[in-house]
Amino acid sequence: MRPPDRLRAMGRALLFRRSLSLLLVLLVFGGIMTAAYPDIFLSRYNFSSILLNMSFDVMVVVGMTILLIGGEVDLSVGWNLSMSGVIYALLMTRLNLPLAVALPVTLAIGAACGALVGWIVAYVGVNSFIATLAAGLVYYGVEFWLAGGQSVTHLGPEVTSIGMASWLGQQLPVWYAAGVVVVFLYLMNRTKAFRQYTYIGMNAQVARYSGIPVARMKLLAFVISSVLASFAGLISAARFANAILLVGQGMELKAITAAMVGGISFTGGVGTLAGALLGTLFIALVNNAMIIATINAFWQPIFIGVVLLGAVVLDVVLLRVGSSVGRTRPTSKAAQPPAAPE
Amino acid sequence: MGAAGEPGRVVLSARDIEKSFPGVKALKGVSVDFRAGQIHAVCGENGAGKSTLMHVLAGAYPADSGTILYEGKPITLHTQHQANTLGIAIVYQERSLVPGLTVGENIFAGRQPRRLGLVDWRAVERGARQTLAQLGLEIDPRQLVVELPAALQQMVEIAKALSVNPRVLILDEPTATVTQRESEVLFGLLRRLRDGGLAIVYISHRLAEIFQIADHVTVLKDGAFMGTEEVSKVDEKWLIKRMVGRELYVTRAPSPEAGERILEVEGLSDGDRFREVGFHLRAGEILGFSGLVGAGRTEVFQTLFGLRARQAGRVRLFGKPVRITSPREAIALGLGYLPEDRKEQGLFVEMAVCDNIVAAALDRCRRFIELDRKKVLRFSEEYRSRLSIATPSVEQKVLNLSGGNQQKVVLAKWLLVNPRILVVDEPTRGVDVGAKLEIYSILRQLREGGTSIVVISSDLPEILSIADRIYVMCEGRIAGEIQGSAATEESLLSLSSRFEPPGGPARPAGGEA
Amino acid sequence: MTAGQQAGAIRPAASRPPGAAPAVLRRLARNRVAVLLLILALYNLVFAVLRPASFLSLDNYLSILVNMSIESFIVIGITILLVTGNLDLSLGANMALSGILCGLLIKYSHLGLGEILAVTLVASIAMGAVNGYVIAYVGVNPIITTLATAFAYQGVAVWLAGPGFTDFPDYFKVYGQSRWLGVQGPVWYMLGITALFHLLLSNAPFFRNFYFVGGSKRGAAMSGIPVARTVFSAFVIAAVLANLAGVVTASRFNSSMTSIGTGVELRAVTAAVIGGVAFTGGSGTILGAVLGALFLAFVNNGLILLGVEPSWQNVVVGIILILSIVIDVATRRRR
Repeated sequence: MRPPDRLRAMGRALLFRRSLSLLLVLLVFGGIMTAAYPDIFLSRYNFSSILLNMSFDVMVVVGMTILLIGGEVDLSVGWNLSMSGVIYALLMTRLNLPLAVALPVTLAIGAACGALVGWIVAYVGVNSFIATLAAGLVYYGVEFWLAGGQSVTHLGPEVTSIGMASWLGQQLPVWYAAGVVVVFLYLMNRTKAFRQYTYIGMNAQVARYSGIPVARMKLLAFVISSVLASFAGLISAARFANAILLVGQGMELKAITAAMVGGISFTGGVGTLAGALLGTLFIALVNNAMIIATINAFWQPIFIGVVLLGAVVLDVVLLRVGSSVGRTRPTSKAAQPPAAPE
Repeated sequence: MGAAGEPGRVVLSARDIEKSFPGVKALKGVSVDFRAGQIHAVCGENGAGKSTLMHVLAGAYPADSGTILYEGKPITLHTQHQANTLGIAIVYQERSLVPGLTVGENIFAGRQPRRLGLVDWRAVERGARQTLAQLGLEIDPRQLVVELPAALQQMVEIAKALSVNPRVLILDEPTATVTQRESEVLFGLLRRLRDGGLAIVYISHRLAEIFQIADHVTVLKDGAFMGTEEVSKVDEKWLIKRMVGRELYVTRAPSPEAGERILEVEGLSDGDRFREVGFHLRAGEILGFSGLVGAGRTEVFQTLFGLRARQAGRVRLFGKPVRITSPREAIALGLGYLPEDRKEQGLFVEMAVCDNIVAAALDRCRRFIELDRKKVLRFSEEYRSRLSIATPSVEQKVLNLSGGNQQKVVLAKWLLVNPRILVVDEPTRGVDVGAKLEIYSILRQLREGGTSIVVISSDLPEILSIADRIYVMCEGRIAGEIQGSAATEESLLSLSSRFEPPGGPARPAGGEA
Repeated sequence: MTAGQQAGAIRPAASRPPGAAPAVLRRLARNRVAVLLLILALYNLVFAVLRPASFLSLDNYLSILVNMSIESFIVIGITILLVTGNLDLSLGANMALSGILCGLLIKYSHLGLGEILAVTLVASIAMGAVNGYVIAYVGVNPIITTLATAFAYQGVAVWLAGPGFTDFPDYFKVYGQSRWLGVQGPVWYMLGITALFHLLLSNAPFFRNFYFVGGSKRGAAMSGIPVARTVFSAFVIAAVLANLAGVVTASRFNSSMTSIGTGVELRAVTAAVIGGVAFTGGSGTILGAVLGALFLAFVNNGLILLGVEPSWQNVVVGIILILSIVIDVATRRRR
């Protein structure tokens, strides 16, 4: 191949195979940690605790990824999660409802919230950033009101039954998360219905012209994200035996970060669920490493911030390299005068 | 305006301009002179290099080689702003105005008059009023741009360009988004400016307009200069021959017997761009919809396809009344719509050819709930060979294909849906000649195969050579219906151009359907 | 006779896009400042009736103003950024870090107050400059960039803070805690800064360029406006305002902690959007945004006076935010 072709191919591989390069980074990172802290890092206890803490993030990331690929965002998932935990706990402790009722009701509330927000974004046309920002505020207020301003603590065994047990050595939340991952990896990668999100995120107008039910799919994505966040919230309450009011704070930004590190583009249409999950794993490993190495907690966000920034800058630079080398003919955009930097 | 220039003096010259992009040589040594007091049209098919030449002259990109002479002196242009300062102004199709700001402020963008370091709003208003008045525009400079209709925004764009008192004004397809009546007013404005000594470069591929407004015309084809002549001395055939190089349109094949009416439309109106539209389509025919831009043809079919809201009217499809509210429904009922703007409406430019081809027919590629990649590739390969789409692989991004091949990809997408009625909107816009002929042949084959086709086109020879029957729309209404065999360019043009007397919006016409 | 007076002059038709509200309502809705003032007036009327004793007191009004005063600096910074079509999610961290740096330097260095303020200002500007450079010159999406830098800056803040700083000397506390004519310092700062920036954004050519850049990048470039430099400056200005907010906070509350400023960016966006600033750029005024913040402050206050649970405040704010956007969308709809 001629040098420009080779460069282009390399760039493309790095760009499109973000999952691969991330996997590589993870393996290297894991290798370093194993070498430095062989007993602690590779222990079963460590392994389990990483997985446990990750499981809630994973459920939120799955929903967020579907939305991001479809070109939207949900800034309310953190509060949704917290609110659902509170609702679940209260349904069982104050109203004394059995698990079989409290669980579906909580999820149904989550679904209804998602449907309302989704309708506002997809059918009324409100910007999703603002709409979900507002929704988050509402959830925050509702949960505080319902809980009387205090976290709901000391939840009894009926509440925690679905969260506290273990199976095959791992705690239940890990299995729930695994189930969600398996289901949605299949849906996103293989099914026709979810493939449509890529089209919608690439260009919603063209998707509409092609007969893809854009509004309906976006609504669905918001419902999914909401239900998953709800589920994560109630499982969290179950596992930790209390519904903490601020438990979900900042989760949406964390999920967006994980997705971006994993290759999801904020503008839509680009990236895979597998990549986003690897991004989540990456952040979880970094967190874990910092704890083991007893590095002060503040290094974690610094590290994450730098990595995220590096990743997206690299994206932009590679895109420029790729386009100047790979473009064979000027499209209407290229033919327009470029927005001159100066 | 009155730029100092005796008519005939050469203001701007291009000499042997060459410009290449990766993979294509857009300009191959083009030389043209533009004179003060003249409207000089530059025409050619899309891809001929008119846009590129215009960008080079306006300073948007540098030429690879060749010289630009301004007022007789060679200059090097680095930025558009520099060209502006020198006196070369350009108005693009895309709006560059800020909708949330006033007309006056937009006109003075980047160079607001100042007083004590702050913007002198009175001077802005005064200056803008003056500029607008000189152009015959009664627009209040304090009005927000967003409140003006699109055509007036275009006028403000022109006013903005003119406010720097340029010697040369370059216009890129200025009538692309305005109605017939608005074009007339625009032309009046341009004529006044020309008489005041401005050199006007008018880029267009609309031949009818060139004869209306231009004094001189230059033809470009595939980046090469094909000739310059006074407009009064040439006719359309002269232009087409240079634009295209050969007789483009084959003689009409005799129309087959048309079947029963499969689409009947009565009194259709959307309350905005068209009203009282009534027509019918027969099985097995190719129906043409002619008319100038803004006539409402695209809007009619977008409404039928479920993309726009219908306000009134009745539609019968295959004998049954229907009310289509989404493209999804339309496709399910057997309709297909190949849109006007393939980059914004027809293609996912960053996605692969195969992904684009199956985009409207994802259900056909299903295996239970899964998307069967093998089927996707199989269909794509099938259409790649059937339509002769030139691409190294079906996994190539559509972005990298030529205009003609991109259009074939969109066509493949709609063929895969297997519609009984396919509407194609400007099917050969921006398509090279070879691909054009292929597309016509594909459409004819479709008709043989039983698909009925509606062709919306502003290209008269195109419609004449391919349509069995033609409706002409003008200003939102059907102006007439002509059999393909009986139609001529003159008859189509005259029906398209009938416009309302000044002073009132269109009223229900008496007489013709 | 000008060309315009001949037959065929072009004037805008009195047309109305179908489905849009009547012209008067639209014109009104567009002048968001007028709408907000009207609503505020009505609000005051209602509460004067409902809670005359507690609402109509000077103390109450002052407390409303003082509670919103510091975050109003951020509102102004966010507004400028939104006008250019950008956003900065790291302003809260910037604020916290500014306060912490002050505390750090006061406690451990022998620098005078002026030098300390200068150092923290430079630090804030540097933080804003990083954002500005990556977004304006490299071209990365502003949300991701500032998200990343927010993480980083917050981390640095935590690193430097330790347990936090408190017990500031009087020469520092005076800025946040003094009163003039009976009104607290921060309120005066807010009034001054709002007036200054409103004037600048409405009338200074350099600031008007923000609108052009936000409205049409290409158009701005064509008009000779240096787009990247303009966007970069917006980030720096916002950073300076964040610095101010952080220092005054530390001064007023006599402590600097890392939790300062959490979530302030989104609250500021809320205020700005209610105040008529378009999320997509190219329109909106400082006055509108600050009135939006004032409106929210009144709402919070009102809910407290009515004895409504504090948690409902957020619900109400969320609903107001959605409503204001829906109204925007509805009055703008063209088909």
